[in-house]
Amino acid sequence: MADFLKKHSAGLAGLSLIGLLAVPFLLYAAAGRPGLTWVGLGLMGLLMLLVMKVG
Amino acid sequence: MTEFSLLKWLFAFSPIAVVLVLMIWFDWGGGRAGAAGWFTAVIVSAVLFGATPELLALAQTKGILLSLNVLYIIWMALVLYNVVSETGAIEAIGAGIQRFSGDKSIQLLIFGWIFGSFLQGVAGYGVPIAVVAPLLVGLGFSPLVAVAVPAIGHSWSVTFGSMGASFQAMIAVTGLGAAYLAPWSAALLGLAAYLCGLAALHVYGGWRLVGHGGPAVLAIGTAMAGTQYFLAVSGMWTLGGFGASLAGLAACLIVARAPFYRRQRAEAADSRMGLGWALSAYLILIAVVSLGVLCGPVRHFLGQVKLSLHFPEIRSAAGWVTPAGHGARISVFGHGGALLAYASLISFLVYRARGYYSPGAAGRILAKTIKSGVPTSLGIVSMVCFAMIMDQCGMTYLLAEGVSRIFGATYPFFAPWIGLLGAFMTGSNTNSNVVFGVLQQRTADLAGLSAAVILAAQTTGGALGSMIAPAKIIVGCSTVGLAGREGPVLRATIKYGLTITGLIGLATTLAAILTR
Repeated sequence: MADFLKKHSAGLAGLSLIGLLAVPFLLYAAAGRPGLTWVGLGLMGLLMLLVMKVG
Repeated sequence: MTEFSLLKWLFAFSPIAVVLVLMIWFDWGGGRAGAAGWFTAVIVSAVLFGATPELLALAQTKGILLSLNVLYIIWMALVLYNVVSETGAIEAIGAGIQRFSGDKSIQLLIFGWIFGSFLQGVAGYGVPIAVVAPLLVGLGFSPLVAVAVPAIGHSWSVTFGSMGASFQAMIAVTGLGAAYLAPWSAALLGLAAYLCGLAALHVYGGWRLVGHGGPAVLAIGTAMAGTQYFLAVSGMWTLGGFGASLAGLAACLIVARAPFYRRQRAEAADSRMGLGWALSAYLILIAVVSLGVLCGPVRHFLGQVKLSLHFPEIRSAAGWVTPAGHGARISVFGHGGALLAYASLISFLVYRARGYYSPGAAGRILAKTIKSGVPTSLGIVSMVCFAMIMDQCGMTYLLAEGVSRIFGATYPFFAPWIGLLGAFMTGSNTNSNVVFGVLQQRTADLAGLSAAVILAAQTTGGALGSMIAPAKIIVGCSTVGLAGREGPVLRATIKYGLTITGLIGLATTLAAILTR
């Protein structure tokens, strides 16, 4: 896992940036639907974890 | 409403503390530390400040709109820089400047102060130090001086450099207009321009060189500070740093001809590109920005498509209310980033028609832009997102209230130090303005001070932080063979950073008294 993250860190950093730019708009669209809001926030958390690894 | 207590204040400060500790003691980059700060902000806001899932979700959307406003400029500034750099024009500009004078003080000022500011105006993000340091080594300066001089010399121009990205960030997070913020920001940064020029001389030759180069600093500094002020207050703040450095170059042409500075002969340097063609991309930029900002019909035509979202009122479980309203508005075709994109495209076509590119240039430009842009963007997005969480649940307000209570009437003196701290910890004036802009604004409001003056001090401190930010020093050291030996350079720059910030603090105090 660590090797994979290290080998593909540049690509994963780019993907996490795209995700971080896109997910908040999904969160906006999900306003008023608690289930979707939790899913969106979970995705944000996962992306931030990825940034902590490869950013 | 959020009630004040020291313990709660410390928790409200914890996301910023986490970023500080990780960046300073653990050498984490802005993106990684910002993500850690985001987790801290989510946990603290949910547990202690009543942040609901809906509040967190909408704070993220607001944060991304703010981020896009800044990232648009950053990415397009990087594209333009790489379009120019790929032709060898940066080296040609350096060679052209070298012909001006053989006087060491003039050379230091030209490269470390004026050319560094020019590069900050068109690129930023460590480019001034990375480009100027090797040029100074080539002129015979020691590697330590070669890194320290541009680090100190360019820092005054950071706020209005990079097409005003840091200033744009301050506008975005505070919601205050450019016309309100620009005059005091340009005034304090103008004062910093003189001080940075004198400090750049002092690094190399002590007070003797300051005495020798002082008149040049006075003349060139007046041209740069005056031009920056004019551009900032007339709505063309995206060109503030860039225009100021061009005015500085013009002033230096005159100053360098003074007999006092002509005792040593200048050496001619070779370059395959003339200075005129090397600068043509920036002349195109001036034309495009002038047209897009000053020409009413063009500005109106480009400003028709705006990206914005309406947000409902948000109420935290602890009772903190954020009123309903629109988030940051992005003018898709009239934004500073869009103007940079037009200038980049035209410049690329001009350079290609002149045959300055080798095959595959477009691909290399794209690759270099992505390589520099992604880490910078991750730092900005993660920090803006956690700053918005702090703002939307009252944490920033609580911090401001605490700072106001601690410093009381002496607060204006400390305002630039907060900006400096932000830039030191994040390596960026933009990030410093994002993290501390609202805090400074709220503190100014609570203390009955002019927000324009306090925010000017914030962004000036943030700009000066560039000379001591480890992230930027590391970039400079890596280009002159000092990789891993950043400590001595940091020790050289930190005393100037602290001294100049102290003087800006005094000027802020005076300005706060005058505007009360």
